[in-house]
Amino acid sequence: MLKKKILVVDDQELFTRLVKLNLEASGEYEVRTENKGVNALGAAKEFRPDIILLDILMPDMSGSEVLKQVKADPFTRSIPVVFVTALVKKENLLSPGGTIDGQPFIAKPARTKEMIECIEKYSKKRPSL
Amino acid sequence: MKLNINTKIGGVFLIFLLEVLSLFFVYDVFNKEHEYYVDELREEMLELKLINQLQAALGQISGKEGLKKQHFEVLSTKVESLIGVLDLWRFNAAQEAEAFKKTKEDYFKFKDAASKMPVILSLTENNYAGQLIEDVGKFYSAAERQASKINAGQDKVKNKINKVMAIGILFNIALIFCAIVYFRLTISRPLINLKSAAFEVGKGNFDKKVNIKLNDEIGELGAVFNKMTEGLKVAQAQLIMAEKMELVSKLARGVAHEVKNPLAVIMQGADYLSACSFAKDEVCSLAINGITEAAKKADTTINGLLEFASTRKLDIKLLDINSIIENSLLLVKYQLEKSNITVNTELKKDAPNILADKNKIEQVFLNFLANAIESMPDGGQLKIRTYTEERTGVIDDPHYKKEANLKFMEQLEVAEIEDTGYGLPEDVIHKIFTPFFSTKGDEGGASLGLWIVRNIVEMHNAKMKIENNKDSKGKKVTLIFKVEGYK
Repeated sequence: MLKKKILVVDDQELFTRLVKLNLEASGEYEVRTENKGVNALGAAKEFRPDIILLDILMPDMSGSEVLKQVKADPFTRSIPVVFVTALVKKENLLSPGGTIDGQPFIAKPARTKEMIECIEKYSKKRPSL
Repeated sequence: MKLNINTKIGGVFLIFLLEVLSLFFVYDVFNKEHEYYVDELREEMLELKLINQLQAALGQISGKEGLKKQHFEVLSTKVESLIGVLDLWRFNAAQEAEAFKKTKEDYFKFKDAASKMPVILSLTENNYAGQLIEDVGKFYSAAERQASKINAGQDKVKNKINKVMAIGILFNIALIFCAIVYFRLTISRPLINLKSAAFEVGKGNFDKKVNIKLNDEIGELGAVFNKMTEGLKVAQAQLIMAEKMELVSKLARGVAHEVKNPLAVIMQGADYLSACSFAKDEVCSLAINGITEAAKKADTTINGLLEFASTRKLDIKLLDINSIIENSLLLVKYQLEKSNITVNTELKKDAPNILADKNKIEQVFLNFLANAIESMPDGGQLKIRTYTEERTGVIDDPHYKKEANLKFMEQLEVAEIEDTGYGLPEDVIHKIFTPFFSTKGDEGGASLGLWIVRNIVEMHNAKMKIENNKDSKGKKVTLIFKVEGYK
């Protein structure tokens, strides 16, 4: 079975590294990390992930802007995007299953278990070979 | 006694009017007396004039030797001509006319006597003529005395009038002075006080109070002014508080972001460590779990702060409080059943709507319901009651006399949540709304719930009370909302 490809975009290098380590430890996922918002679209086009875990508040380009680009590009439009953010409003916290900019989200700090559940829920279903 | 300004002004004018009327009355009385003396004098003077003429006529007669019948005929003619003169006189007053009528009658008698004189003379010669002249002379001097007496009387009247006028003027001056003092004390001084107080308030000194102990509109104005400055003080405090809270909210959002990112790294790091081989070691495992739990707790605290930060804006709508309660009860239905708690609701039908933020008020009820459920782990009774209450009162101002008509009326919507649980320890009951205060020790959450609830309640201008039940165990939470627009 092919591993699910996950693109993690976050300006915190240590965070992306740890997420990569934790997710890849399960043996189910292939993770690529990106620490600059501006490089996210290129990485998505190149890596063609099954899901993008995207931070919102990044110094060079916001997650919302990255989302716009991803959804505007025909090559990446179909990739599901899940925000991973520390900027969660109270309303979002109160309603599980809520969205930010129309996308599902994971509130930081999240356990690896929660991330995996979310990935499984929202990532593209790969046809089993 | 309540005297309004119009009554005061009216009263002063009435006093002035009475004074003017009394002066007119006094003037009229003295004038009449004066006129009477003048009439008397005129009458007497006219009599004197006539007598003088008579005397001259008699002198002419007496000067001739041997009074004859013809002489008296001449006298009779002269008297008749004097009566003619009297007839031509114009009289100014009825008394004058009356006096002259009397004089005329006297002259007629005199004429009659003169006409009879020739007959008498023929019988008694002219001895009576001399006697007549003598009598007329006596009459003349008596009339003169009378005239001087009348003159003295007139002077007396003049003096009296002068005295009365002087007293009147003095009385007037005193009255005007009293009116000035009265208006100064009851109108101008309070208004000056109000002006300076308003100036002070304008400079931001909201503790400035006016002390007007008057039962009139100015007194009411003073009380309303004091009430207004109190309101301004509260509004200003609320504004400052709102600004502070806005700042705190911004800070909280910033801090949340800055803390949550490192927490995310800590959590991921802990997850990574727990997968490492050394994590099987008991101490290492304990340490890794400790890190995870500490990060979770820090996250809960930050979430509490975020929640607080988001309570600063209200989405106000007209709401039925009963439906909010019913909705909240639905959300905790599972916990209620699980804890074996029976619910007793007594919700007032057709209760007036209140202006509130649905989500936030629901949050308040959920918080109190959750607290009640937690306090009854072995089951119990939850009683929820709503009712309306009308409250009337007078403006509570120590500077203002309460009997005045400065009342207010408001309608209140009251909700009570009563449980039969543990109740609250009396020594902490006043601390429960303090942020981070918890009766549950380290086991509890971030302990911001009741603090947030208090903020929400205050933002709705509502009141909240928590008390332990005196007769039975458990506690009672009372929420009081004002029904807006109630007159």
